[in-house]
Amino acid sequence: MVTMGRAFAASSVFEIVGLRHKRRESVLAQLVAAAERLGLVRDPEVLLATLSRAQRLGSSALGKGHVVTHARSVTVLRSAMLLGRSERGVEWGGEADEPVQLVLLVLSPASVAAATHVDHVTEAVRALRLQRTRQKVQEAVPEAVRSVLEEAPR
Amino acid sequence: MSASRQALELFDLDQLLELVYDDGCRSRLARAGFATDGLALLERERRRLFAHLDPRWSIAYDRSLARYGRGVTLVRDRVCQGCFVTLPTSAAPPPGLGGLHLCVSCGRLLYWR
Repeated sequence: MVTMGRAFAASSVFEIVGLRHKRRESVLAQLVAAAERLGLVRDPEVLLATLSRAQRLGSSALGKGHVVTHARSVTVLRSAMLLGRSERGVEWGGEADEPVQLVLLVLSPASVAAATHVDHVTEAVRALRLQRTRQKVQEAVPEAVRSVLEEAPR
Repeated sequence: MSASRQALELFDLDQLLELVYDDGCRSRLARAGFATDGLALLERERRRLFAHLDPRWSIAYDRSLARYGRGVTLVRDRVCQGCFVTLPTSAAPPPGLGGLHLCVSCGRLLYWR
């Protein structure tokens, strides 16, 4: 089992994205576009299709005002986490009964073992478990968000 | 949709399904709050994607999956990332275009870009 710090350290890239959209599909597209700009993704359309399928599976961990979603894809070049922050809230659908302010996308290349990918995903979920951590993440300057999550109590 | 995109989507879907079929991964994801209610839907989607793939590639995909555990392998710097044999320059796709190939050494289905 990896520690919180190691899970985030394994993600060579951690990026904060200001979300402009209110719909889930548009938000995922914005996060994928951000990943492409960072040189993390080879074929953004494939990754977007993969994330949409993950949604159909039910593969999003929903919390109060936040969601964690993930993909292990052949199009992803490096492990990364992208955190989308929305001031207006995102209508995520499914079982989410309130707008989502934080969307954490965990990406792993296909070469990463399934168990390792799951380590990263579950640690990301735990990092956002506490309301006070989410509040700090929402209010922190972008440069400080990663350390807030790394130091989050589990 | 191009054959390479279809194959890559099929591969990613298999990666997702691997997490669900693996008891350890599934139970840990479930404890973290991830549902798998849509499994039957995704299995149908997989059958549809596979059926739409050109038979030349679907046979190669199946063979790679059965023999090596993954349907598609990447090429990096002209080297098959499955058997690490350097592939001939003549087999490379035009710059900027990706494509599906078969490894001349191990027979894996390759995605070369």
